[in-house]
This record gives sequence, C-alpha cells and structure tokens, in this order.
Amino acid sequence: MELDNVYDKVISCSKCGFCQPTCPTYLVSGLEHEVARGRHQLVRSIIEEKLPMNKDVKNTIFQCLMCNACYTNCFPKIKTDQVIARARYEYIKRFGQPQLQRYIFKYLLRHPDTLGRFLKMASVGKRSGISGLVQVLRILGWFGKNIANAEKLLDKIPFKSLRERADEISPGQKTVRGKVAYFAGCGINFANPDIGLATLQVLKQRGFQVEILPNYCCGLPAYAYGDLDSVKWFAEQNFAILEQTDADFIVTDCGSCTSFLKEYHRFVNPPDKGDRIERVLNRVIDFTHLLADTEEFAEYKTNDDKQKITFHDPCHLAHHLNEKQSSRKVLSNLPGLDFVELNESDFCCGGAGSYNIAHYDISRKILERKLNNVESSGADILATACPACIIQLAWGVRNTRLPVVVKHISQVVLEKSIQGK
Amino acid sequence: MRMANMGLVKQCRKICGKKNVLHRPIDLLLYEYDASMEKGRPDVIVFPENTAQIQEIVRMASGMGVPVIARGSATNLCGGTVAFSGGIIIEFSRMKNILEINVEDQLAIVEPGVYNLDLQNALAKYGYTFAPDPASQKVSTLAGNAAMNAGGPHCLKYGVTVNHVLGLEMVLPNGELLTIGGRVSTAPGYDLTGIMNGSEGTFGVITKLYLKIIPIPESLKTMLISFTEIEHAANSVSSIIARGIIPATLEYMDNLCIRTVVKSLKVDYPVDAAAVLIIEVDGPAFTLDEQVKEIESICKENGATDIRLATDDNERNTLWTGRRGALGAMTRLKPSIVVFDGTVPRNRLPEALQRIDEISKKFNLQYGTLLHAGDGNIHPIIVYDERNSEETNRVNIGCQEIMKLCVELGGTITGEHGVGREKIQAMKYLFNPEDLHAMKKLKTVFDPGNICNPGKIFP
Amino acid sequence: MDNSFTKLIDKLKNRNIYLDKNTLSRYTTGKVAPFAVIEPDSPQIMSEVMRECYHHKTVVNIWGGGSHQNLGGQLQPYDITLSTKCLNKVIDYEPDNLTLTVESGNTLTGIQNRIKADNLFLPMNPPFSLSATVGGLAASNKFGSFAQYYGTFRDFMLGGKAVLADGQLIRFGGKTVKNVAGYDMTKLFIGSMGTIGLLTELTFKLIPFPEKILSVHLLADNPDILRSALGKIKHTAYPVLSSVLFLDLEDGTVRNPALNIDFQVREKDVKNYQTEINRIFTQDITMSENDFTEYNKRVKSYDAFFDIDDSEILYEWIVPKSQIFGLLSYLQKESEQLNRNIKVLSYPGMGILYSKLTTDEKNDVSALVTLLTARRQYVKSLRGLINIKQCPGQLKQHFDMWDMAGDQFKWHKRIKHEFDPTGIFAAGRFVGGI
Ligand code: SF4
Ligand code: SF4
Repeated sequence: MELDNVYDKVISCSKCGFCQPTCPTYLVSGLEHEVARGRHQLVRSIIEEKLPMNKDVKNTIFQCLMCNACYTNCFPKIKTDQVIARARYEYIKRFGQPQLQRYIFKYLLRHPDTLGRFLKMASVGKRSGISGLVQVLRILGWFGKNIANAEKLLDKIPFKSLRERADEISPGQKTVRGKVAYFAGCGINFANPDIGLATLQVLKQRGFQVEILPNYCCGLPAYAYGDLDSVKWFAEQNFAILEQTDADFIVTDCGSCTSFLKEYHRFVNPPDKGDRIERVLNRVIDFTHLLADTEEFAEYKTNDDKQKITFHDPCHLAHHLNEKQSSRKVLSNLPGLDFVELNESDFCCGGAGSYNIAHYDISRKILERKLNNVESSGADILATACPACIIQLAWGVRNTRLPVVVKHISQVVLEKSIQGK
Repeated sequence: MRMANMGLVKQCRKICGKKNVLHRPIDLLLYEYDASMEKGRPDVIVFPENTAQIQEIVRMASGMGVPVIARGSATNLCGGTVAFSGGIIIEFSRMKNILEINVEDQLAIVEPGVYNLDLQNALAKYGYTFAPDPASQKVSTLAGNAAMNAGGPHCLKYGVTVNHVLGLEMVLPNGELLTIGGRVSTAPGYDLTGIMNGSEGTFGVITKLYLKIIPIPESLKTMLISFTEIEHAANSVSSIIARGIIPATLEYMDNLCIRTVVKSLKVDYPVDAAAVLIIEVDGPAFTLDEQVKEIESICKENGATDIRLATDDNERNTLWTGRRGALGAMTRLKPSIVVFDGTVPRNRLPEALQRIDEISKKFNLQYGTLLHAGDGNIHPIIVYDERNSEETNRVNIGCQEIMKLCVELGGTITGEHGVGREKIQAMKYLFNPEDLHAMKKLKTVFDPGNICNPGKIFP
Repeated sequence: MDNSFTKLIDKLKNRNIYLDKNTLSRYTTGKVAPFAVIEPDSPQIMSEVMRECYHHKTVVNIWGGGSHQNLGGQLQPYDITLSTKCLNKVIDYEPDNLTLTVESGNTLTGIQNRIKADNLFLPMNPPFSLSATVGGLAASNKFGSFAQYYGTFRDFMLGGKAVLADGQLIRFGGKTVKNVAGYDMTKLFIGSMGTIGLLTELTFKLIPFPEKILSVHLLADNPDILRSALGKIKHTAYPVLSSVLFLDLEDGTVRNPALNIDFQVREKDVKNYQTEINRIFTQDITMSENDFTEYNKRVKSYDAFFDIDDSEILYEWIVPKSQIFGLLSYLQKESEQLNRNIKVLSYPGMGILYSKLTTDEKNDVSALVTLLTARRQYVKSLRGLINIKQCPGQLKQHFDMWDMAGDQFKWHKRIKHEFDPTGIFAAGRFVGGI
C-alpha cells in the first residue's frame, strides 16, 4: 500500500481528540468520521489493512476541508492536509480520476491560454460548450453553489484577464522600496482581476517596482483533488519561473497560493535542492504580510465616515502559515474604519476551493456558521485575503441578504489610500 | 470484522431515527478507541437528541442485555469509553446546550455534551468560572469530567470535579430518570452525587449536570522557578504548602520536558535546569506581592537558582506556553505516548521521582515528567513506538512498576485519569478483594445486569 | 443468646463489655436500653464483634461521642450499643503532607488540640460538638459555618476504613487529594448515619491556620441592608471563611439581627483588607481582627443556637443561594400569622438556614404536622428542601424528618439493603426510616 509515507504521521496521532473543537466538519457533523483524529485512524487502518480501501471511506477522505484548523490544537503537529492529499491520491488511483478532473488538471490548467479563450467566449455570450465550462469553473471553485444560475454568473466572468489589463495600473511612486514579482493566481487572474489590479496599484503607490510573473496555476486545486502527479508538474514549471526572477519579494494576494508556493519543497527536486529552494521560497510573501511589514500608516486620507470592518482569516494564511497578525495591523490602522474582531475568524468559510460544490450540505452548514458570526460582528465590510473565500462569502452574503460588502483587503487599502501616493 | 447486529440497529433506528444511528464496519472502526491505547468495537453508535431517547435506548439495551457506553469526546486516557464487549455507544455531540447560568444561585445547568471550555467562556462574561480545568478542557465534555471525576492544575486550591458538582440527572439501567442533588448545596440521604462522580459511566448515563460556579479571582501572578536539583524543587513544593500558602497551581517540569519545549516551542526556559516549577497565585491584587515574595524566599532557601515573575498577561502566557505545550512537544519525540497519573503524598515526591528514574533505566524507557506537584500527582510521559512490540512491552511493564511504586509510597494508581480498562489490573495493587467487593455492591445496586460500561474499573 | 456470642462476650469480659444497668442506661438512645455495650479497642475486634452480630442477627446501634444520638428519625429497637470510644489511636499524622489518619473514636476537639501545635486544623466547626467523635461527625455529615470556604466532609475526608454489616473490614480512598481509583466509597459513608457500616478510621486533609481573621459585623434590623451587605461580596473571590446571620422573628418583627462576615487573611494583608472592606461596604459596619485561636472562641458562641432543649424543634432549610432572604420574609410572615417566636441562624453563603420553634402544651401534633407540610410546599416552590434536624422524641414518629423526593428514596433503600440486607445496623434515623 503506497500510503506508507504518511504512516509515520498517522501513527503519531495520539487520539487525544484536541482537534474536535477546531475542526469545522466535526463541529457541524459531530461525527468521528469528520475530524482529524478519525481521518488519521481511518487512514491508519487502511495502511494496516484492517479496513479495505472501498467506497465507504470516500466521505471521510473527501469531506476534509484541508483547512488544517486541526493543526493548531494538535500536539504532534500532524498536517492533516498532507495525509488527506495522499489518501485522495491513492483513492483515485484505485477508483480512477473523473474524466473532467483529468481534463482540467492534465490539460486546461497546463494551457492557460486555452482556458482564457474559453472564458472570453463565455463572457461575450457565445454559448458554445457552456455547460462543460460551468463544470470546470465549479471544480476550480469559482462558482458558489448557485448552479442553476451558473450561466448568468458566467456573464460576470470578466472579459479580460488581469494579465491583459496590467497596463491600467497608474504609475507609482518614484522611491523604489524594492522589486516585487507578482504571482497571479488563477482565481485572481481569470475570475477577479479587479482584486489583482488593486493589489498591483497599491504596491506601485508604495514604491514597489512590479513585474507580473508568467506563472501557471499554483497546483493547489490538483492537490485538493489528490492529483499529486499534476501537482508535481505545476510545481516544477512554476519553480523554474520563480527561480528566474531576481525580485526581492514574490507576492501573491491569494492566501492559498502563498501557502502552497511555500510548500513547493515537497514537490520539486532540483540537484542542490536545499539552497535553491530556500532562496526562492524565502522570498514568497503574502501581500497582506508585506504591507503590514512595510506600510507607513500615516499616508491615508482621513475624511471618510466611520465604517465597521472585520476580517475573515483564510485557512491557508491562518492555519497553514500561522499568519493572523498582518491583516489586523493593516486594517486597524486604516482611517475611517473601525476594526472589529470576528468571532471564530479563522473558522473555514466552507469554500475550500471547490469543496462547496462537492459537499454541499456540510459546506452550507459551515458557511451558515460563518455568516452568523459575521452578522453578530456588526461589520459593514467583510474583508479577507483569498479569492476563493471571497467567492464563497459573497455568494453567502447575496443569498442571505446580509448588509455586508465582501472585499479583498487590497481593495480596502486602495480605497483608503491617497491617489498617486 | 464483526457484522452489525441488525436487530439491534433496527431498534436503535426506531428510537433515534435512521440518521442518528451508525453501524457500518467503518463506523464501528471509528468508534473503537479513545485517547488511550485500548480498543474495542461497538455494535452500533447512536446520537440521541434528547433524554427521552436515551431512556428508551438504555431500557431497550437492558432488555436485550446489550452494553451501553456513554461517550463524550472520548479524550479519556484509560480506555474508559471503549466498547470492550461490544454494545451501543451513546454519543453526546447532539446534546451540547448550556441550559442555565445563574450567578445569583451560583450554579450552571448543562447538557452532557457541553465542552468544559465552552462553559468557562460562557461564564467568563459574568465574571465566573467552573473550577475544574482538566488539560483537555477545550475538548472534554462536562459529563465526561464528572464521570471520570477529572482533575487539572487548579485542584490544589479548588478541588476536583466532584467538589463542584451539585447534582446530576441520570438515566439508570432500567431506563428510569433519576435526579440527585440539584440547585442546593447539600441533600439528605446517601451522597449519590458523590458516588456517581468518578463512577466512569458504570452506574448509568448522565443527562444533565448541576454545577457549582465561583467568581473569578481578581488577579493572578505567575512565576517560573528553576532548580539544579530535582530534590530542591520537590522540597520547595512541600515547604510552600506547609507554610500555609495554597497557590492556585503548582506545576513541575523536568529537564527532558524543558529541553523538548525549548526546542519545539521556542520558549525561553532554562535548558540546563534539572527542573522548573510554575507557580501561580491568585486572589485580590493587593495580596499577591507578599505571597510571591514569600514563595521566592522559600524556593531560594531550598536552592532555587533562578526566579522569573511574569509582569503582564503576555509574559504570563509565555510562561504557560511551555507547560501547556509540554505534553504535545513530548509527542513529537516518538510516535506513541503514554501518560500515567499515579499520585503520592506530597512529601514522598523526591523519592517517587528518584525511583521512577530507576524504573525507567531498568526498562530502558524514554520519559519526561510533569507533575501537578501540589497534589503529588505525577505524570511520567513515556514515549515509544507502538509498532515496536518489544518496546511496547517494556513500556507496559514499566507502567505497572510505576503504579506499584505509587501504592508503596502511600499513594494511588490514578489521581485524575481514571481506571477504565487500562488500569484494572493495577486496582489489585491498591485494594484487596474485600474492598473491591464492597465497591461491587454499589454496582449491583444500580446496574445488576452489568450493562453500563462493562469491563471497566474491576479486575 | 447464642453460644458463640456468649463466648465473645466472655472474651471481652474484663475489658470492653459492659452489662451493668448504669452504663447501659447511659448508652441508651430512645426508650429501650441495649442489653450490652461493647467498646472494642481495635478495628479487628470491632470486626469480630460485627461478624458475631451478623451471625446472630444482633442489631447494633453505633455510638461515637453520643452528642448526636438524637439526630434524625425515631431509632428502631436494637440489641447492643457498639461504642467507638476506644478506637482512639492516631494512625498516621504527616504535618508535612497535611494529612492525618485517625481512628474514628477520636474527638474532634482532641484532634484539633493535638495538631494545633503544628498550626494545623481540620477545617470544620460543627456546632455543639465538644464531645463529638470524628467518626460520628462524618457519619452524620455535620458541618458549621467554615463549610462555606472549606466545604463539608466530602471535600476534606480523603479515605478511611469501615466495618461492614458482615464484619468485613474494608479500606477506601487514600491519602491523596486526587484519587480516582474505583468508586469513591468515602462519599458513601459520609452522612450515612451508621446505616451501612461502622467507620473505624478516617483520613483527612489538614489546613494550615489562617494567620488572621478579619471580621465584619453588621447590626441592622432591615433585612434589605443585610442582603445588600452580603451582595457586596457575593460575586467576589474574597476568602470568606464564614458568614453567619442571626435574628429572631417575634410576631412578625425582626429582633436582634446580626451579620458576621469573617475573612481569613494573611497577617501582612490585614491593612489592605481593612481599606478594601471600608471601601466596599457602604453599610454601617464595625470590624474586628483576631488571631485564629481567639476567633474560634467567638465562633463557639454560635453553638448556643444549636443547644436544643426538650421542647424545641430545629428545622434545617436548604435553598438555592438567592432565596435566603425570600425565605426570611416568608418566616417573618409566618411568625406573625402564628403569633410565634422563631429564632433563625443562617449560612447565607451556602443557602442554609436553621430555624427554631419552641413547642409547648398548646401545640398539638397535628398543628405541627400541618406547619411542616405548609413549609415543605413552600420550600419546594423555591426548589429547596427542609429537614427536621432535632425535635422532642415523642414527636419524631409524626414527622418525616428528611425531605426527600419519592423517586430517589428507593435507591437509598436499595443501597441499604445491599450493604446491610439483614438490618444489623439499627434503623429509623436515616431517610425514609432506613
Ligand atoms: S483539515 Fe480542516 S476539515 Fe480536515 S480534519 Fe483538519 S480541521 Fe477538519
Ligand atoms: S489533535 Fe492531533 S494528535 Fe490529537 S487526535 Fe487530533 S490529529 Fe490526533
């Protein structure tokens, strides 16, 4: 059984149960199947051949959000996402990878131009092959569960990608604070270029010299579906690209990309591994983090009405990177905004990439819990730092008619900045 | 793999509804363990939504002679919630409501599945707390705390769970619902509440708890005190208490634990200390400085080499990070871990520590020690790899030796974790057959058919 | 009398068995004297005696210091009195470890005196217990005002030994505060009034003397003032050792009210506490400062309240803490309606209130029964209960002394039956006549 290299991980689960109160799927289901402890025991039993790898195990393996909230409380610090990714890999090896996933991970994402063309066609209303595209976008997590209205939503798919709009960014400050290589995540590039523009604009205003990398998908969607072979492909391609830049910072404004890039040491294997990898990965930094580290908070306009703002911690920042301070530092220093803490701010939104589609019920319950917390925070603006969360949260907000605007933190910052600064 | 008993499953479904009953092989596998090394596969798992359902389940089980095992978060370290001889596991993840918080009567009424910490958080809003705070409080349920009579670092000053339970509502094996104690401080008759606490679910199923709550002390001061000799630390513990100071907590960590936390948690503990004490005093702010001074001078008299006092919440948290994370850090040394909780009279601690060291040398055990020192409660943490059967064997024998030692020193085999399945043999070290026979009489009273959590406590 | 029992009596003849009228009448509870009084001087002999009794179905009444023999319901007929008087050894005293193991015939006073030298005490002050033995106190679960801080026996008794009905000597609990090895049998014996076993040995957690006692005294005939004073400390974690409230209700009027709140503090903190107390109490208070020994003398004076004479009935009300003052005003009204004098002592911090009523010829039994019924009904509405702690012997048969819900009782009865199937331990005093 090839799950063996996670054997050490699952065996070190002491079954203490401390993951229970942090695990979103457990909290909404109350089932041992839906918590890290249970998942590890299940994988362990499969390895020890006490349990056959059959379809009964599917839910336990596939309903994990890979949010790693469990890691926070876990004594032996087991990275559940690694166990689960491996288990999914073995599962699809046994039962086969669905056609569509193969198409996405083995073809479409490896040819971003084709994907871009598809999207453009959809955007201008050419209906050819539309339902296939709907499926694709669902798997990539760009749609909420509003499947029935998917075609309408397609209209909202931007005509131009971020890369095509890069020239809209106004020139920045002269003083150069450093050179940034911007890694354009798919969720930003294709689905939310406005966010990317805001990010780039802010960076320029702050005096960073910005270059947009010609990168591929970071590989996280493939990882989440257990297609570890594709992950390796994406990681190797991107690593080569990242190695070529001499920028001081490799920045993304997608928390998931940031954390996944930092995981590349698991997937790439250049000759003098250690050093080269470190040199690249050490420069990878999340936009929010960079801003918190370099921002001089005196530079904002001050004439706004007070609005309440709160922040949802994307799992990949909060749990994978243990990065929760930056967003608060940035937001609480912005003028005209009153930062309020969100109860259970680092509780997953249930988006988890495309999790929301595959596991509608659990996802809905998790989102409900999140939205309840948002509502009781009394915030007018809900900021976050990951496009996948934005899609999920915005969908939830629309559906429940919560009087809240969902924004990426870079958009919030840009609005509060003095133009041209 | 055991085939599900379909007759039983059908009955359970009738009572709890189909969606609240699990029985596939994979389900049974996922409910065969708790936080101990014990395992045992149930026949079916039910998730009752109310007390009436529990009554019916228990009544039905009694009729069929099928065991019932109440299971909260299954964080116990003794095999207490393992379905040792099959049966029905009753899960409380659907009964998690705090029913009442009443600061005027200084009590809280909760459903069995409420996490200890959730109650603490709810109480904090009123400036109140529930004193028992087992290390597992984030995740252990209050019914579990009561059933196991859980301890924790604050027991020294505030007592264990039983001292804070005013009453219980239970479903007895015949399906009858019994309320004992309640909103008042004491009630006539035999102290059933006292007996039920720590009975490890062998008398019935707890369905509601009446808990005593107390105001949160006004302030806290926390110290980290280092020693170059284990004995000096242990002696300081006795001296402090003999001097009439009862700290809120009095915790001890040995050198291996210190080094492990320094390495994995990056806390600033003195790596060359043989042991540290973490002492916290609480009370009105104006009383604490004097207590701190006195503790300092007692520790110095006993040979303390370094004393650090946290001056704000931040520093206080830093001091605690090491202690709280110690067990976890130890788990990173080797994949498997076993924690014992034998207890000895406080003044026998130096001897106990030395002899535990001898035992572990004899059996070649890798271990670190944490103590709830004020209570004489020893937590030797032994790390090993359960895949190595020879090593596992040595660990098992070593543990038995440690428990025998605790008894020999006038202590007990378990101070807070419970007997469960794991320590049933060790009960013989402590009690003779007549003593156990008397306990069994109680069992006979409430559960003559032996359906409530059978196979536990008694050898 | 059976042969072997006679033999045992022979064996004990010159030492510990008394058959003379004089002794027998001194050791009589109720009307009928025992035919023998035995005072075994070791747990082993106690166990032997019990074994014989079991064998011969000889019913025993256990006698400690004799001070609480009149507690509870009417004692049923019994054959012999087993006194623990000679079980008076100290088994193990470890001042370092703050534990003490003694045989059950030791008096509380004796123990307190003995450990005083080490500045230690058993944290209890049950009223009127000069001659009381620790065994008897544990069996009757007596407590006094210190229970507010230190709890009752269940909070500081760690273990012990007992002889069961069949003579078996068992051990339970231990010497450590934390101990979860098996069922907590200690709890079973506490308050069991000698119905399931005879305690021969008890282990206690000891407490170092409080350095100073700082007392707040308040005299106010308006209960609202008392209530608000108590309210000042209710939601704080101040170390209140004891708070006691006294008053008399005369035809609906409050007389001689007094509230004492005693803080146990360290000497060095006295000044600060005084300032703090002056700050928090806006009422008209006086303060006093004592060392613990002096203070204990004052506390002893509370005992007078519990010195019940042949005409008095002592009621024990146990209610949720917030209900104490509601209960007081109920009693106030009652005293007006009945045109009676009711004396009250309360531990408001525990939700406990004692009230005393004097009976006289005018009181016919049925009026008293009606009164009890009315009170039970009322206290039930508060979700509390009321016991009759003591009353004239001839009235006992008319009262249900203990307030216990019906569905609970059968479990107590089953416990009794399991431990003492043939009724070797004299019945009558405990709940439901157990
Ligand atoms: S990764 Fe998230 S969903 Fe999965 S087990 Fe951990 S906490 Fe639960
Ligand atoms: S917290 Fe970690 S070690 Fe504990 S049960 Fe969960 S996964 Fe296992």
